[in-house]
This record gives sequence, C-alpha cells and structure tokens, in this order.
Amino acid sequence: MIPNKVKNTYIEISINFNGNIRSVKAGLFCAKEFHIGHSIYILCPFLEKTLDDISKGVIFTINGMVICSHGMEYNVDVSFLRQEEAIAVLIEDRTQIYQYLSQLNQHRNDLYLLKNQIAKQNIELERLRQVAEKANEEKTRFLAIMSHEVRNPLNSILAYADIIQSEAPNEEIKKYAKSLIISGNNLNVIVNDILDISRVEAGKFEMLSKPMSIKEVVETCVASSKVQYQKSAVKIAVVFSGKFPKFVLGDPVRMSQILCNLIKNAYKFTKKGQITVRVAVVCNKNNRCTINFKIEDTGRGLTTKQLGRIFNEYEQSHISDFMISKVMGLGLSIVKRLVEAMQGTVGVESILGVGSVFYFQIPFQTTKPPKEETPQIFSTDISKLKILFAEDDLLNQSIVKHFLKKEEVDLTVVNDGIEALKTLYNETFDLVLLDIQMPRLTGEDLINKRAQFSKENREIPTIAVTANVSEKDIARYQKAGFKDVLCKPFNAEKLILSIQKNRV
Amino acid sequence: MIAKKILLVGNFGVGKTSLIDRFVANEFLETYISTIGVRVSTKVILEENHEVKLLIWDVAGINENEKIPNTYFLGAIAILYVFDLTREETYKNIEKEIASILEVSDLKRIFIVGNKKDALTSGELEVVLDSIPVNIDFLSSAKDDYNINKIFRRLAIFALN
Repeated sequence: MIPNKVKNTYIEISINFNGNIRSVKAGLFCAKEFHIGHSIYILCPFLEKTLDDISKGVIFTINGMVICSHGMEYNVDVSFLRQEEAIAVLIEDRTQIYQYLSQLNQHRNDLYLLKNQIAKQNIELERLRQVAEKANEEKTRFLAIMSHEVRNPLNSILAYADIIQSEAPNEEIKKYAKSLIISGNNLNVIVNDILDISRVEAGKFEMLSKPMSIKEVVETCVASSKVQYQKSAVKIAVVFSGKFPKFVLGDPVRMSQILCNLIKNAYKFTKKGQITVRVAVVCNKNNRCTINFKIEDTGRGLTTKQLGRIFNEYEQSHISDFMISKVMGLGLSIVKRLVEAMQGTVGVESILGVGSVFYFQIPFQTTKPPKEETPQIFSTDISKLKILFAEDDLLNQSIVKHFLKKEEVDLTVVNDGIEALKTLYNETFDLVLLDIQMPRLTGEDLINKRAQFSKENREIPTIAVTANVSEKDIARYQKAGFKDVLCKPFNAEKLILSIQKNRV
Repeated sequence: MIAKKILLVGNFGVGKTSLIDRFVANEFLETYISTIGVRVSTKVILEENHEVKLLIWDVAGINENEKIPNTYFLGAIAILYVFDLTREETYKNIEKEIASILEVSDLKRIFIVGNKKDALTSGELEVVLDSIPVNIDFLSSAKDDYNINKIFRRLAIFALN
C-alpha cells in the first residue's frame, strides 16, 4: 500500500502520440489538472516537440522543469518512455529540493559576480594608484627643480647680504642687510619645508634609526631656542619625568625638527609668560618605551575651528586662519607627518586667550650607547691653499672669490666643467670646489673623469657646491667621490668650515 | 499552427530570461534572479504566412565546466547562445562551448547573441567585438528593447526553413 503522502509527490500518465491524455495510471500530484482527452502540453509545454524525438523503448528524463498549477509553480523531474501505442510519462514533484538548490545557486552566482566586480575594481584601483604615483613623482620632480632654481639666486642674495652686513660702513645699512638675511633664511626654511612635505607624501622620506639620547635632543633644542629668542620676554623650561632609557633608536635630526618647530611655534604666539616643554616616559619595558612630549604655552590660544585645521597645510578658508598659518608656515603640517612617520600620534589642546598645549607621543626601541667617535681635528688656517672653483654663475663666483680672498686663499675660478678639466690636467691644487649643474660638463661628470686629471690632482679632496639638496642627491655625490657637499644657500662661515674640514 | 522548440543557453546572468521576458511579455527587470532548471515560455508569431508557436526554453545559466543535459535538446530546431558583452568570462571560451553544444545537440546551427549592449560605449563595444573569435549574429539589449523581436523572428524563419 502506498500512503497518500507519497502519492502526492508523483503522477504517472499515459498519453497518445499527439500528447492527449489517455489515462492516469498512479499518483495524485496535480491530479485535478490532468483530464482524460486533454492535451498534456497545456500543463507541460516542455513536452511538446520533445516527445517527437524520442526512440521507442528508451527511458528519457528531463530534470528541473517548471509547471504552473492554480497559480503555483512546481519544479518537476519528468521521465517518459515511448511504447507501442502510447507514451508513458512520470512526473515527480521536486519543488522543495529545487528551492534549496535555487537559493544555493543564487548565492553562488551573486558571489561570483561580486568577486568579478571586486577584481575589476581592484584593477581600476591599481590603475588609479599608478596614476596618482606618477603625478606625485612629477610633483616631487617639479619641486626639486623649483628648489634648485630658488636656491641659486637665494645663495647670491644671502651671501651679498652677509658681505654687506659685515662690511657696511654704517649701522643703518647693516640693519637692512640683517633684515635681508632673516627674510632669505625664512625663504630657505619654506623651500625645505615644501620639499620635506612632498617627500613624506611620496613615501620617499627615509628615517634614520640610530642611537640617540632623548634628553640630549630635547635639551639641545631648548638651548638653541633660548639663543634664538634671547630677546623674548617669554621664559622656557624643561621638565623630565619618569625613568628615561639612556639611548633609543631614532632619527635625532627629525626629532629635533619636530621639537624645534613646536617650540618656535609656541614662541611666535606667546607674547609674555612661559613655555614649558614636558617630556615623560609613558612606559618602558621589554626594550620598548613610549615617550610623551608636551609643549605648553601661555599664548593667545586657538579657536575650535582653528584646532580642527591646525595640522593641515592647505586649508585656509578665513583671513584669521590664513594669518595664523602664514606665521606658522608649513611647520605644523611637517610635524604631523614626521610624528606619523615615526608611528606616533600628535594633537593639540587649547583655550582661547589662555594658551595651547601641543603634544605628541612616539614609541621607541631602547638600545645600547653608540660607539664613541674620535673627534676630528682639523687646521683652521686655510691661507695659501691652492683651490680651484668651477662655477658658471658669475654672482656665485664673485661671492666665493670675496669670501676666500679674506682668507688669503690662492683661488683659481673657471666657468664650466670642461675648463675645470683642462685646468686640473695642467695645474696642481690642494682642493676643488665644483658646482654640479654646469654647462658642457657637469660637476658629477667631471669627477668621473678623475683619470684625466694630472696625477697630483687625482686624490685631492673635491667638494660639491650645489642647490640639489635632497638626501638622495647628496648620497649620490658622496658615492661618486665628493668628499663633502656644500648646500646652497651657504655663507662664508659654512664655506670656510667645509674647506677646513676637508683639506688634506 | 506550427510549433518550434528553441533553446536559449549561455552562462548565468547573461540575460537569457530578460530576453525572453522582453519578447514574450515586453517586460524588463533590473534585478538578477537565477533560473533553476528550465522554464518554457510560448509565443505565437506570424512569419512567412505561417502561425509559428515558439516554445522557448530558458535553460538555467551554466558555469565553467558545467554541461547542458542532452535530453534538453530533444526536438529542438534552433539554439540561441547568449553572452554578456560586459563580462569577458561569458565569451572567452565561446568557440569551445559552441563546438561542445553542437556536438551534444546534433544541430547544425547556433545563433550567437551579445547582450547588454546598452552597458558599453561604442569604443568599448568595438574592443570587445575585436576580441571575440566567432561571428556574432546579433547584438541586443533587453533593457533598451534593442533587436529582441528581430532575433526571435530570425529564429522562426530559420525554423520554418
């Protein structure tokens, strides 16, 4: 005996070769739809034409067909067998199974489409990344050229201002020259800041990792700001708290840059009162330590709106904001980027009219003290030294001539690399100062032709004098064989110190 | 009235159901609902003075390496292979897939349709068409009702002859 539950899941029908129902043999599935003498094609359109093509005595099955009965859809598997005088058709209701299958199939297909969409988006993202990278590289290149072009005339301005300041007959002119020097130096800082930002943005900013003493870096910055702002009515103090590791790994130059920028910033906005630099060890264990730095001032403070934008370099929507950022330059934006490059965090709290607290926290790795370096001893007397200076810029030529004449240096000046090469073949020198970007033969190409110098000149120290001041450029010059790199703009003091350090 | 069985095959999501819905009911749905098994739609058209009843089999979309059961092809007169012009995977193996269907179905001719023309610019379309190694019979857009009637009428004429 077959229970009704089972009978409801199938129906077996006999039809003639025109598709008309002859009899219902067994089962109850959609039984009310199958009337004797009616065409089976009404309910099962998929059988029309299909049955024309079947061979006698072979059972065929078609799975997953859809039939509709009283507004309901059913998924059925249908088997049929051609006999002598009729066709036997077995219809099995598999709706439940096909519904599960349908859901699985929909999910699978959706996932597949989503995966494809993600893959396409990734390709597009990669393309956009490359475009952005190229644009950034172009920007960096442009800024490097711009920096070079600015540094050259700036060198002349600062050097002449330096000469005027030291040689002017009256105090009024000396005062004007001093103003020129201050403005020139400010411009130099701005150019350096722009380059720093572009390098950080381009991911080309390399941090050093060498042993440094946090206390020493902080104290040096504070001492240097005391000298710089000795006429200021504002006092500065340092407070250390916690047990400091003697040495940590880090970049002392960039660390100083962060601190000096924030201290300078505090001085600018504080007319009277106190600046306090607080340095505290937050934690120090397992060769790791986190140090918190706070630079507190009693200055004018900042509005909430200004606080939100203070570390952004380009957002100046109001005159008051512009005035603030004009005074601060790109310093705070660089501070933020440097701190972040050191895996640190930076922030500011401020009350208008009461003062501000700029703070940053950096994790360090503690380390052993560095090996003591033997101090370099060099002679300060450079008189009578025979020096060759190759430079195509007449103003720079005249400046160096002026600086070195005072030192009684025996100076020969040539206008380009080819002239320098000839001179180095014919005459003997103690030291060579080479501009890098010279017509006909660059300073870099010239140093590669050392073999063409006279034998006596092949080992003499060569100093690159250049406005290309990126770390990458400097490293390349050193690798090429330059003993030192004198960056433009330079003054008499820097020029002479470089010669003193590098003379044989 | 002459009944003719035609099958629409191709990868999932290429728009086979949309082509049929547009032709039979002049409807179009933006959402994708996968088809399970086979849904058969019918439409009677007048072609070459004959009333032709098209039995259109909407065969569930397949993925790579999946085969269409050969019983589906019993009594069929024509096949429409549909691919999606915006999805490379639906036409990258088109030559191989068509050869395989021809072998299983025992039919001589497959009509090839590139659907979703509306989603491409003329430049993009040119690039896609250049990359397809087989002759495409029709470009279509179920969304814009582009070429739909033409495709099915062409199939009916083919079936009649």
